Amino acid sequence: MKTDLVRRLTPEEEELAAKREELARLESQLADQELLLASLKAELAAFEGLYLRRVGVLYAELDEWNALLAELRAEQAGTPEAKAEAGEARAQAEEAYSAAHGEAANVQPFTPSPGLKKLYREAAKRVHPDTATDEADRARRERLMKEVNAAYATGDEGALRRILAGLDASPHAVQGSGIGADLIRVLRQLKQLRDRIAAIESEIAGLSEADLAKLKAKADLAVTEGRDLLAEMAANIQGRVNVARQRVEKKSDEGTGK
Amino acid sequence: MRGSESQTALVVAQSTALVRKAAAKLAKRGLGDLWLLESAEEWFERAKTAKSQNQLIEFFECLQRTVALDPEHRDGLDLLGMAYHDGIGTLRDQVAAVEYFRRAAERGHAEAQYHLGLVYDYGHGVARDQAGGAAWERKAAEQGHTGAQYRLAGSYYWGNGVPKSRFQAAEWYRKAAEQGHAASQYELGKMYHHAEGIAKNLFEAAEWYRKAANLGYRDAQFSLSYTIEEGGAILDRLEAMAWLHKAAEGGYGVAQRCLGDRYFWGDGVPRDRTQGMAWYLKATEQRDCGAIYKLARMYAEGEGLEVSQDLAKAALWYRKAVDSGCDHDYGEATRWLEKHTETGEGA
Repeated sequence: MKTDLVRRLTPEEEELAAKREELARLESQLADQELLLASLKAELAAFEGLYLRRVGVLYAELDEWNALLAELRAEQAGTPEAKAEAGEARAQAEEAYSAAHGEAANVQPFTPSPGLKKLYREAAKRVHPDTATDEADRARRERLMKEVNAAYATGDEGALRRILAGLDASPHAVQGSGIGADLIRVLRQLKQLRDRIAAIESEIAGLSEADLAKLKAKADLAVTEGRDLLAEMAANIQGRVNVARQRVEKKSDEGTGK
Repeated sequence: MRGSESQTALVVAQSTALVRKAAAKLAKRGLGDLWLLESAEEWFERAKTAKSQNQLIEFFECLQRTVALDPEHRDGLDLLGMAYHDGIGTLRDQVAAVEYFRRAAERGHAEAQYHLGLVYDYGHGVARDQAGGAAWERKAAEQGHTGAQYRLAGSYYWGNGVPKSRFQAAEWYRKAAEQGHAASQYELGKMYHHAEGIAKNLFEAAEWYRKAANLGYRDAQFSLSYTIEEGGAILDRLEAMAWLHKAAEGGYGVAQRCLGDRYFWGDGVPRDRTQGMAWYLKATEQRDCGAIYKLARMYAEGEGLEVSQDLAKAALWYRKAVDSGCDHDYGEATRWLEKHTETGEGA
């Protein structure tokens, strides 16, 4: 009896409802993936900071002593080859110094709270550029997504809350004209979301291929064995620094002795 | 205005990109070095396994690979020094040994510092230099290396390479002794016993002797036995005898002779001259001069119940005293032999 009162959905309407359900599921999945990617990036940046502070600075010091040694040799030998070597060594020392003492070295450990993760996931879902309905909306969302990512990386929960509070009620509030247009728009959104999810997957795969990620994986493994890999590396380079320093001191004594 | 602003922004972006690239290079470099370190460690493990299986050439070659991959591998450098020094898996090369010991020692490896100290002390592969040896032993000793502490204490005791100081000797013996180093415990006990560098304290002497004695150190077992009798511990003649037995059974010549005396005269044990003789003979096998003279005199004088004068046997023992280098101080054996050869007796 009651079914008579409910209007039967047209096939187009059924299709649209199914696609909207799928859209919601994909939005949720995308938010998870974005969270994963943002966390991975932030962890890597934090590890890079740690690596540069504990190991990078020693490489920079080692290169500095090697450059000094090459310069002393060039001074004493005076040959074009020695001068070229000294120039290369100096360039290398400056490059290592710029990395070891640059901005990347200041990144602090990344320990996101469950609250921060939840806020990020919510914000990513709501502002995601790939749920945009038109180009203007997309540009606005891309800008917001950058802010969300930056706030997450620095653990700024307040900023995430402000972004969320400033959002429109719902991204799907604006409806197109007619069911056909709605369906087309939803299909386009679905494609965008799938593309983005695939892109994130390949980006994550690419990130874990990076040398820094491999170093981090080794360091993490070492921790489970009760070892401090960065300390071991630092001890090794410190030994090489000491040898290089002694060589420079010896060479400069020779120079003054002459 | 706008142009220069965007130009500045471009320069900043470019330099940021360069720094990012430099940081990525540092990561790559670290990963490469780490691979070398890990490979070196694998070869080092293989070297240790080879050594335990007595595959000495394999041991040596694995060590060479270890330090080729990681020139900072301190354990590897020290062991390679040992291999060259003792000729393990390679020809003996004391000069090369010194270089490897030095590389590890300069990198703060305590064992290598100790080894470098020893090669300086003995002049192995390097000009003999006791002061240089003591300096390296001190570095190892300050890191808590008991062998080096023992050596350094000895250097202070005799004034080898350092100003002679019995007090410093006692201090370094004490550091090693407190870490359970038996020889140092014994030496520290002796210094308390004979009031060298520190005030005489028989009780302390007995305590340190006892620690070393419990670790099986024979000299300490013997010293403990008579320190107990001298009153360094609650007088317990049974315990004193037990330690004397232990030292004698461990093959310590002096203890064997003293135990012989006890049996011979029935001092603390039932008098038993056969047992006494047996211990004297054991002591002579350890080239204990006291025991050798004792037997020589017994046969020469006919002293003692079960022994009648036997000049042929006396000559034999006096000859052994000369051959064992016992006669440098007394000349007793030489005189006796000369006298009896002239008269034709015992020849």
